[in-house]
Amino acid sequence: MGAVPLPGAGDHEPEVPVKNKMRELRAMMGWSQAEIAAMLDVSRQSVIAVETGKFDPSLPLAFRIARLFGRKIEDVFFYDD
Amino acid sequence: MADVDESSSMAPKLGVRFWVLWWGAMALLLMGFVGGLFFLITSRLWSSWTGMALTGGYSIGVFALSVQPYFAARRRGVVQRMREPHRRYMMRFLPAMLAYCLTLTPAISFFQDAKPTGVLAWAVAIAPAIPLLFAIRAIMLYYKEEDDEFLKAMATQSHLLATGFMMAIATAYGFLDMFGLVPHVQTWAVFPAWALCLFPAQAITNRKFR
Repeated sequence: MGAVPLPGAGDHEPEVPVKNKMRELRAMMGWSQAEIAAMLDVSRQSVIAVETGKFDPSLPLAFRIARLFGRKIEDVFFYDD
Repeated sequence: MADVDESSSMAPKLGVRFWVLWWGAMALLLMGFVGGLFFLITSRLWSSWTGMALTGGYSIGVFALSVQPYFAARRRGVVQRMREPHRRYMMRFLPAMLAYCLTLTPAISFFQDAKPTGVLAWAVAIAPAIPLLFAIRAIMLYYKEEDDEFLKAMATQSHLLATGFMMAIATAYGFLDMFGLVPHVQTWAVFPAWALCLFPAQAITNRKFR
């Protein structure tokens, strides 16, 4: 059995990429990136990086994002398998 | 209704013209500094005061230019207000580097001209290191205070990359130096050189996440 790769480790793409519905949910709520950044108390760069899947948030931040949309974490972040 | 279809790019959209002018001004400033240094040395006008004026002017110019992209982006409304940890970092790091630039040349000239001894010699010799220690402290405090995990990850990657560049350069140069093939460089130069390595390191990190 092969080693389980660490999510986001190294330059290579993780075998099971984590996707998210942040952008769709944000569109539904009619929030801008700047507004959601202010609500989460993070930078707009962070919102962009998470939305585009270039940065996987920590578990606490992922929970905060899900809670902001009133969703379960698995409704916002999921494996694309 | 909020603009949901916002840019997915994290770099402020300032346009090609702005960046051409900005890099041009940066290059002119650097050429002015190198030219000024060459002129002062060859015309025997080099002293602690002329050296300090040149390095001070260059440092202030670099400082003024380096904040222009931020202010330009704010004027165009494409960036949010600078986050508090980053603002504090800038307010600690930039004055420390300016103080370093203003201390280094007089310390060297004074040591060569006045040839101090005893406690004074130690005080003058250590003087340029003190602002650099404050600059290192500013970096350490930034890591402690930054609560945005993405920005912290970006900073970590940039700093690690710059450290890697610096170690590679120092190792190669050290051996060339040992065999007398290149001029000897004092070890204090490692921090300013590391700070220079941050430019390509940040460019690579930004490109990765863009």
